[in-house]
Amino acid sequence: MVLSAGGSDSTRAREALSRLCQTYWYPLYAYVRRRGHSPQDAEDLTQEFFARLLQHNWVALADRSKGRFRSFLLMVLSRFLANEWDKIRAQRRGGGVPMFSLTMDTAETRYCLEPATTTSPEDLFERKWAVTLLDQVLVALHDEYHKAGKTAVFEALKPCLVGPSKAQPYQVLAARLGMTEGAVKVAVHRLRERYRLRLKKEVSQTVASPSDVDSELRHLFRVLARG
Amino acid sequence: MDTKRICPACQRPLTGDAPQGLCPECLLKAGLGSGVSIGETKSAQPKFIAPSPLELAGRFPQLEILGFIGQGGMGAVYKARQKQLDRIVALKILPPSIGDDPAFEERFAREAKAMAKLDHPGIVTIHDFGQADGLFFFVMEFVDGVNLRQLLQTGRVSPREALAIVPQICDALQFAHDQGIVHRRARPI
Repeated sequence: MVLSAGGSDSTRAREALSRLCQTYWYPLYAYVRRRGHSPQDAEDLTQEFFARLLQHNWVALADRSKGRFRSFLLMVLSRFLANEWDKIRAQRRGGGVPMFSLTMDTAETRYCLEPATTTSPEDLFERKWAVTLLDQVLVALHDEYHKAGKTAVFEALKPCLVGPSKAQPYQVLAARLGMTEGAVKVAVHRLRERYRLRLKKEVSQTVASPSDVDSELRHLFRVLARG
Repeated sequence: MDTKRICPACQRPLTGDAPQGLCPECLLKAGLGSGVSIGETKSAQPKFIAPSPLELAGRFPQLEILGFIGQGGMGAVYKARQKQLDRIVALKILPPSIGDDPAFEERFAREAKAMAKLDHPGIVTIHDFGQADGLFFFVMEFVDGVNLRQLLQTGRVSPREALAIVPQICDALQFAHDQGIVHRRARPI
């Protein structure tokens, strides 16, 4: 959606872009760290990158990334790291306040918990992107159920989202929720439907057209299946 | 209890970044639904799914499998107890696909024997190795705690602590060299 705006200056496009940046900053931070920058430099770089992204019209470069905000960001970020960082550091003294500020206090704590593997920065970025997206979807889903006064149902049935399992028979869930088994089945079906809808909705925010959603989903699945 | 959390759907250990405690791969797969095909996966080989302790028990009657410890590209490790000796050990099994290479069995035996010659406090002791129903395995000394890479990742190792570890590693490597055995994978992290 952001990319289809074609880099227009409309308020809606900027708000959408801003929201995406607020959501997906961590994969970028992880990428910069995995590229070898210190925690402090990585934080500065990520902040600076987003400030410039919003300030300049880099989104106009988007057509090269085939309408995927994820790959667009990675491309522009790696270019930014290659070209801009040295210049920025030189100019830094007394530098202007970035127009966009992220709360990144959890950045390094999260990064320390990343598994110690030989994953490349790009692979790490992709995986973190996929996980962040799923997290967003679950948070939105939780809020939806919470507003309807159904937090308990959500929490109890959430494990069913990953598929059928013998560990959580409907009988047990029914007893826990004070519902009939039939009602639990319906509730699970409904939850899965809402989840799929929200997943597609979140993905559509990051691609240029609705027809790209499925291929982006497949790509993210492959990323996660790599392990 | 040191068993890791396992995804009820794919039976694999949950990663640290599992959103709201749910396996990200299974979540996304569920999100794809039946209408969309997943398409080609990157590697031709099916992903190695580590067997559950219950599944393993039948193949190792001499062991009580206590729990799953971890999994990497080179197989899966479990905590176990040798029933007769009443000793805690680590059981490492290799992915079944590894046996596809005909030269593998010979290399495997050679390496296991080389390791068995190394009796040193800094080197994990090998107790046994072999094949159980086609699964290659090692039974090794059980070492509790994190490995060096994990420790360094926490970022809480002081230079003094790091320095204290290095001589122990060198000592172990030297010992192995004296026996004519080379690690080949020792590298700075």
